[in-house]
Amino acid sequence: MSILKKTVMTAAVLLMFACLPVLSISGSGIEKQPDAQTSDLGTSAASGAPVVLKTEIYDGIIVEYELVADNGTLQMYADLRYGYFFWQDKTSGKRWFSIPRNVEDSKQKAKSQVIVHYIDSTIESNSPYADTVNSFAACIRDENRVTVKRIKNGISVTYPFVDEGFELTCEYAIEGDKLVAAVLNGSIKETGTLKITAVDLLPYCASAGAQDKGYMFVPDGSGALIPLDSSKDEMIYTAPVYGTDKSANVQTQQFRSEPVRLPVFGIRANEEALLGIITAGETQAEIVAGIHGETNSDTAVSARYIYRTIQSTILFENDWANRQTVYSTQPALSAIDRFEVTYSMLPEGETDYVGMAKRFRQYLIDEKGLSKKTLQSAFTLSVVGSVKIDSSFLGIPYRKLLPLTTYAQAQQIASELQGSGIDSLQIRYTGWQNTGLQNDKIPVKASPLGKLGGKRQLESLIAYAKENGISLFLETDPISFVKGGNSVRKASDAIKDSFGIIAEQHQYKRSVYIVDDSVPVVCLLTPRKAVDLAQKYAASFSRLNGSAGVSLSGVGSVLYSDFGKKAMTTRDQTQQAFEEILDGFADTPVAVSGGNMFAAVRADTVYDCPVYSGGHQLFETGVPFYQIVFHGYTRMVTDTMQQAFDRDTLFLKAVESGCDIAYTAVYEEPSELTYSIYNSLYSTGYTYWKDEAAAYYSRYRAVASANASAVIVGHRMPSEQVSETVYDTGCRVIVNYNDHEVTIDGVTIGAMDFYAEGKNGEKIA
Amino acid sequence: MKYKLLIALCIVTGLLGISVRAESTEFVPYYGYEYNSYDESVPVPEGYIPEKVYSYREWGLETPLQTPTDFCYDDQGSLYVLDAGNSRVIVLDAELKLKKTIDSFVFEGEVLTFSEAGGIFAAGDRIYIADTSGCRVLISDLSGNVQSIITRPDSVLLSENFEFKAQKVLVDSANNIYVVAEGSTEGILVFDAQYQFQRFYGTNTVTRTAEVIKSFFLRKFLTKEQIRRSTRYTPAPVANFDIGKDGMVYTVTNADQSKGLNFRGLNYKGNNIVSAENRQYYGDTEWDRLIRNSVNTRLVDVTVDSDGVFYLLDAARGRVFCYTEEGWLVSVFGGLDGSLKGTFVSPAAVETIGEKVLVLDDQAATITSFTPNVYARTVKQAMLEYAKGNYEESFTLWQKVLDQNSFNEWAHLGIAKVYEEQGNYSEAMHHYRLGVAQGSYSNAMRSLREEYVNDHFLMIVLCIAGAIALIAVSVTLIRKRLRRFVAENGYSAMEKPALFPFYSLAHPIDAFEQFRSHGKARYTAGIVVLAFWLVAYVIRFFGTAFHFNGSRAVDFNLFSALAGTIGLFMVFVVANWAVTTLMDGKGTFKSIFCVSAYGMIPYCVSLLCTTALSYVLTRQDAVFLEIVLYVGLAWSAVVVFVGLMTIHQYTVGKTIAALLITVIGIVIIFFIMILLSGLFSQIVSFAQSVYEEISIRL
Repeated sequence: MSILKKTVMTAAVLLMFACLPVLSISGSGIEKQPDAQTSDLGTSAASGAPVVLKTEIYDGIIVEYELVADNGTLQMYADLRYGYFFWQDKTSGKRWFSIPRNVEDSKQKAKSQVIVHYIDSTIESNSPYADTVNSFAACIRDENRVTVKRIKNGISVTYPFVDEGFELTCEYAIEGDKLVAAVLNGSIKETGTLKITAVDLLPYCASAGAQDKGYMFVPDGSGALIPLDSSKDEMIYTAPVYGTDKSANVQTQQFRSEPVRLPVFGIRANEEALLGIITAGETQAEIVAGIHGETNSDTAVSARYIYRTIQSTILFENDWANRQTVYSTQPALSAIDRFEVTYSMLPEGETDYVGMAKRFRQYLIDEKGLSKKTLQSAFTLSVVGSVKIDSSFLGIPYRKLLPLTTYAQAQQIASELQGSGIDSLQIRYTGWQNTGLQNDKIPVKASPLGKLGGKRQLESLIAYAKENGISLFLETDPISFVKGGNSVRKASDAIKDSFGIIAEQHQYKRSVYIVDDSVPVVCLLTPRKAVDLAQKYAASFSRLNGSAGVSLSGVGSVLYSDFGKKAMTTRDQTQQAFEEILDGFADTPVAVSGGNMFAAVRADTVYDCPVYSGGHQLFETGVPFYQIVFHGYTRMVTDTMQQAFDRDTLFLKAVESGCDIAYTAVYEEPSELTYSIYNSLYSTGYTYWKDEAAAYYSRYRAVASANASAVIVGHRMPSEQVSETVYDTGCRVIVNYNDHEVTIDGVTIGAMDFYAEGKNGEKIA
Repeated sequence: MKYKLLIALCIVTGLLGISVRAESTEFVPYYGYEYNSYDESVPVPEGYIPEKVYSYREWGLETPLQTPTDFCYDDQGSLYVLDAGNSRVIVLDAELKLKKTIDSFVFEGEVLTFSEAGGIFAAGDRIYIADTSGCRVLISDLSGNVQSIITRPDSVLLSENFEFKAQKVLVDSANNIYVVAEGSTEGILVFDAQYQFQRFYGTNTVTRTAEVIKSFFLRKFLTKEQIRRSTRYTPAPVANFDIGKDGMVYTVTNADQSKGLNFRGLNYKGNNIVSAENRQYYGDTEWDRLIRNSVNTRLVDVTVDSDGVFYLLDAARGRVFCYTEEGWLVSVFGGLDGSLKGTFVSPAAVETIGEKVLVLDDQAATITSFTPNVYARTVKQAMLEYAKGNYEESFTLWQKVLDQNSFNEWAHLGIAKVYEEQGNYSEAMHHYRLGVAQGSYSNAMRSLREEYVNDHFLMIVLCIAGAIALIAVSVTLIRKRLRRFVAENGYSAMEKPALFPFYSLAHPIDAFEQFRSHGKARYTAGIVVLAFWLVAYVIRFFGTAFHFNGSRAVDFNLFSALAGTIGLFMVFVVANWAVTTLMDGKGTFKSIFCVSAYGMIPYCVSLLCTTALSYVLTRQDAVFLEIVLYVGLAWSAVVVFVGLMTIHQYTVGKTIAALLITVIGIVIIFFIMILLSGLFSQIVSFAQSVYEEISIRL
């Protein structure tokens, strides 16, 4: 039986190769043939229009492509029975297909335009039974069930998953020089007991064959490349855009990861490149990339639409005999209309990740209001004003506000640093107001702390900063709190998980990964309430003094939904709320940390911007994609040096990607910190790092100031552990991460060092 | 064969040429931590950075590695990887580039397979393979010609059902072969250079825990059948070992924490000479309360580098613990995950090449290399210098450590040591305090005190003389006034209500007699004394000088302070009252309360005195503190005893009897309290679970 099948299959494949020589040319689903002879192929069975290309994608299933749209720039060809399509650039003649074209019959997933993930909660087991179904196997292989309709500039395809009891409609259309694919949220119907958890849209559109050379780009952290000829066995990378949803109670945390900050992905295969941007519903998206293998049919990168999430909680936690995990599926989300991914083929010469970044930047400028700014590079001093720690007086415990750096001391540190040659300085002042580094309550009033010198000292610091050209950002956290107050009630205003339990944010023990009970539990404020209070705060902040900027830390780095029964909020709505908060500080310079896309386009400064990609086994190398996108448009600052895995490496990363460096500063380290929850504030006393900082700064100063507002136009890795960045000023920076010296284009660069030259080849550093 | 290799190499270099950059990472997925003096994990900068992940394709091999269980670096530039599943050995150079593969091992014309081999060792021009399921050790040359095979020795020392399932093997400089065999609780088998079995070596001892002792006695009463069925306490078998430059054999054992000593360093005789003073248990000391059968450290491999620093591989959490010979923790890194570089699916072996640490993963079939960053390198170097006694050299290193982690206790210790040697005692004390070294702090304080006394001798003598004179004068004056008061009023001024508790200390019989005769017992006075006790307790907790104070401010617990003072006191009073009511005691509850409370005054005062004295005394003079405390305690005991005897109108014997029964009463009260609190907490947790289930399921 199986032998027979195999023979038939082999014969079919052979037949395919024989009939369609075009298939054997490309392994990546890309064809350069401008126009096939239409007359030879007859007319389409669906509409009678001329067919330009015929492909047998599976034993007996022949796809006939006919012209369905032409907008002057692109042409779209589709099969009106099955819904497969490709689009073609009219000038260059380049084509891109919705599915890879020469995969064997056994890889049925790779013949699908949609893969649906679902769970069956009727099956009793320890975890919900999860499975996937692909559109080819369910709707096309045995009987063609899909309905294709023509819409403006494209087609709409309805996939009925009869056995599973659900149905959904996707639209594929050309728009300008892009192809827009979308899942219509309203079209998703569930008639049976199965519940859809996610939909992969065009999972194998950005794919490549085993023989192709190139890479997939994923926006993990600063960006990472996965080689198409990966030496890894099958593995899949998935990561949610804007990080994990915080509306869950998480019991353990083991590893650190770099969240996805940008809703974008891409592939470069041989000389072709395709860029995908999630243009709608990105808050509900996951980036998926995989290497071909058993479960993953082909090497491909795509976007996944998260329709529902499953959360779990432990019931009877302290009762070992009856302890059990229960699961809850959140209700389907109705806030977004469509989940949309826009694909663009990149023009010749821009088919690398720099070209992708350039195209993505253009999207941000056109659609998201990103604008060019005149920026100044500056050493960033991240001052911690105060912290609240558990203390006791004669045995009576209380929360004590421990001042670490007063306003006058901050001024003193700044002036000492300026004295040691750090002439361009920026201050990020955390813990300067009511409750220190971590909010006890959500602040509604910008009120200086008496213990740090009060209003007068703060004003004198602001004046000092103004006089000395120091930009000062005062940090406030509008979303996290430990206890109620200021019109916030913990029970009603903290976000909840899908069991209706307050979603508690914890710190975890680094040794055994469990929740650290000694750290106060932090809650997150519901987005609606956060907007209200932030507006009040903004009004109060503007009265404080006009010339200080505001830093809205968490708004740029986390995103959450809320499953509270009263006001269910999706991540999309939270994003809108955060945008409102950011826009609420209209006349004030705004800084954020982390730098999720929507926050980064609104901010003047991004702190803790990603410079690493998060070490997934599939990654071959990290690339400063994030910085290529934003350099010259937003000022970017790395993590502080105290948090570096290796300080020299972090410094070189900053040099490579044109970020500013930062140090966390306190005036003095009281020994009380050692055994407090802030025991990670080690070596922040400014005397520990003053000299080191001045040394780094003086090495970097010339390059940084020359390119502060410049745009990165080129980036490559000319040799192992060596990178080269080119700015539109003509400046070229080569960084050597090796522990030995290297020679690139006749220039010798020392171990763990860099070289920079101006547009005329003159050495800068 | 060679031709094939060449092609493979070409492919590899070709691949490298095309790819943008060879696979490397600077990202560290695991969080850096270490344990402080209080056995708590604290955040520190990450020390070791995952550098590269190697798999068969990097070496240009066609067949993937299959369960590579072990590897061994011969210190001559060759790393031998035992690719057990394919019965081959892969030889890499120090840069982890492929040197060659030994695809077949031939013995007398026959190709041998060892698909479940567990260990490899390379020395001189010999490769030793522990073929576990084959119950043998293969000894081969470098091209796969097996010279000799060691099988199960025929020795009376071996028990009958002992199978020679060789798991790990190593060879010392005298060509003695050490073999760890599966389930060999007798220890490591040693063969001489002629492959003859010599002896067992380094048997683990059974640690005498309460359970072991219980079972020892129980066995005396059990039937043979019962004994057979009960668990036998046999020593934990050695899991893996390595040999150091000095010929020391380091072994790791899968013992859990309660058994202690999961790492040992054995001398030639097989005696453990790794000091247990600094560390009993290697690995994680914090527990994961989320897991029922708590997974703690499970050491599976050990390797020693040329500095004598050893690296222990924990398979439970996929971590490498790096310690100096003294048991000082240098760094912890790694994790169990598999999808992130620097973590593993199933870590099987650890090895070092220079300062690089390599971990072999037998399921992912990869080798991950880690390099120390500046922080780990400096800490390690500083510890080594410090251990050698080169304090001056370590000083600058420790300062560099502080620049990156100012909370590092070792750094403060090292710096304090130098300050002490320089005679800068107050600075030394400051750093000893940050380094949590009470003994050294005390020593530095003694030097400081000596210095101070020498400098200010005259002044101190004058001060003491002055103080004595002052006390003498005031005592005389007070006495004079008291005498005058007695003369005028007919009773002592001390007998006034406010001073009565103090009067009772000097004249307990008379004073407590007055409880009955004049109704002098006062609840207020008693309560004031109790409050004073609590305050004295708290002051002692927070106020005692560092070198006598093992507790930190954060450890204070108001509940236990209350329970340890007033709570205990009340239980005693209630128990005594209950007992003496039955034993014809004449004392009322009030009088018992007051007697016991007044009696505590000397003890409370002694608490304050010891707190104050702790600032001038060192740990060598600790006996003075104890004397003060015991004097206070004894005085209190006498007062309470005499007081109770007086108010109850007991004889001495009956008082003693009553007190003994009171103790029993206290025990009963505790028992009831525990019972009640257990019951109560069960009710609470039941209500909680019902609420939880209702709110989640509905």
